[in-house]
Amino acid sequence: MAKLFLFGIGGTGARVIKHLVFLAAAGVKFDSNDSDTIIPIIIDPDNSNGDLNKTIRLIKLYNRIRNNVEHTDNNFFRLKLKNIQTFAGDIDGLKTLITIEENSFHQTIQDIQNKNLKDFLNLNTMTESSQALLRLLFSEDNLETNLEVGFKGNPNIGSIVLNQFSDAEYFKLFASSFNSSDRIFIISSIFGGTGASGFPTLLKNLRNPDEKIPNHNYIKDAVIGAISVLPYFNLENTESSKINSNTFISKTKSALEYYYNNIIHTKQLNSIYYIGYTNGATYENSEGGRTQENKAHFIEFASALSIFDFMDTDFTTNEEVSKKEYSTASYSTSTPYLTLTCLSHKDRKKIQNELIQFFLMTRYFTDRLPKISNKKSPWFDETKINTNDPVYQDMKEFIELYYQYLREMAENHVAFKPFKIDEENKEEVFSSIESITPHKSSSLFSFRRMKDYESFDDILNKSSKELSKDISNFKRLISLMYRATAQIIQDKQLDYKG
Amino acid sequence: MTDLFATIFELMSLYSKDLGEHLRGFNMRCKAYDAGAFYNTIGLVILFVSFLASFLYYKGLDMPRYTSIGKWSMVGIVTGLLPFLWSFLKVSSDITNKMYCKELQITNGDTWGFAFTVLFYYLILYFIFALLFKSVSNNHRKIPF
Repeated sequence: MAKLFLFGIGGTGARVIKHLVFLAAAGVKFDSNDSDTIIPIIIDPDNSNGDLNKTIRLIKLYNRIRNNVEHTDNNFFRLKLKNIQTFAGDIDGLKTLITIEENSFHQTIQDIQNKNLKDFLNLNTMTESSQALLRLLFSEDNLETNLEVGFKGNPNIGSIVLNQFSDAEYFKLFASSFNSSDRIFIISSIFGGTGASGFPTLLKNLRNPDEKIPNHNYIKDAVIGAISVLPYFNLENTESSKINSNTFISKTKSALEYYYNNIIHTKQLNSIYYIGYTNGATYENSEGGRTQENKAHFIEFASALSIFDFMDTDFTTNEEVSKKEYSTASYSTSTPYLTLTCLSHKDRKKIQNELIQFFLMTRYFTDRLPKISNKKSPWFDETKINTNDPVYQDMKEFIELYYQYLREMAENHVAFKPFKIDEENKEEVFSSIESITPHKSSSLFSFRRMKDYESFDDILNKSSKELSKDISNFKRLISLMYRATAQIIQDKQLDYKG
Repeated sequence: MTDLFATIFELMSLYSKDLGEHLRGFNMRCKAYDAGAFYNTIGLVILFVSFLASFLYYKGLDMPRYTSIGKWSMVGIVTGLLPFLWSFLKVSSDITNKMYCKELQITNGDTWGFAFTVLFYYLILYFIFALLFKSVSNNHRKIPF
């Protein structure tokens, strides 16, 4: 089974991975059945970064739910999100070498705790001429920068500090578990500090690995893709913050030129994606830490889709390698925000059905399931639901985070609102997909017309009849939901037929 | 067939043997059983109506909103009122119009007893058909249990 090693560098890396987790929960998967494992490796010096911690919490929650889900009849929570630590046990002797935190997806940077750049470089122990050279390259502000909260939009600092990938324990573990068919994808932003500097530095370490590193030949020739996120938001310019969003465009231009000359032109990557949005929202200026928690954004969502596009691309033919594609999402005239119908056909085909199915399931969980006390409802009785099982609490928490995430995307600029989540009429669940009107079934007899949730229950009962009775409780519930929602989107013509 | 129905209905002993004789078709001249056995008619009616009522509940009303013992019972009782009322009215009318052998002692109490016996057997049949039909129902397959 081929694996995808997914490097998320900096805050944008963590945020895009958050979108990936929600897409994976909805059942979006890679076209090839040979690949169903992603190993997210989030690299951020800022341990307390709000976005980072939110993403890690989400991945852990995803995995706890996934462990309670059966996949023979279901695509929800299908992709495996594994920790590189998981592979330590497979490799002789490696486990004992590894001291990185168990069950962590975040890899911090070594030797930066309580240090500024000056301390990190041991500037005071350098010769006078070296010190003078460094003072020429770095301003006093740069040298005094506390490295624990990232590089505050300074890629020149990042490129120094991050240039230690090959010594890091997680990198050794990554190398040891790398197989010839595995792929690598790197997510970073181009206009900040950590991502902009981390991406080329990491790529350099991947394409020119130290020969002492295990599997260095596989890594050197691996299929590597990357997304570089161009500016898509602005920051309030405050006196106290060293990050100035007015510099985003100029930094982007410089970095793009650097990338072109050193990465694209020299064919270091099999695939590169660029994405951006002018006229984005203005966020509160946070240099890092807990307060750096940006609202989910459509650009990050679209960035997460690039991971699927990369994994679905066949790089064995030269034709694909040289292909350039431009994709846009555009407003329809009827809504002042983006909806699922604004996406490209390719993206709709990939995600529309899955997202709608997942959304319908979450609505059922929140609006309908707590009200079902009728033990005579066949699917409920046959599923033997035990809501005291901790996985239900996990699912509840996951759904709360999912709704918060949907609200954030809907409130952001550009707004992306695939679903109506705060409508007063909770009963018309099939009408909660923006820009897609459900097909109303006509029945000759009015008493046979069913309201949405009744119809949902009817389909659940039908699906339950066809589903094996061997599994029960949460496993069966999720499989049942997957079948039922697949039937619903077909019956109500909410599905994307292309 | 008359004997079969008669035996079953009379098992309950909710009405007199004289009404039983009348329902077996004992004629007004008190000579022979050739007046048409109401037992057969009502027996076949409750078989047919309970079959139809079960079919109606398990297929026609196969929607989650009707999935409850209460609604299943209501369908049974409401449809059961048809044979109940019919049997009650039929016997009442015979008594009122003296359309029975004068040697038989039939009271109004017998009328109620017979109607309730019909209703009882109707409900039994409704229950038996429920066991047959529930497996073909989508939403009511756990009804009555």
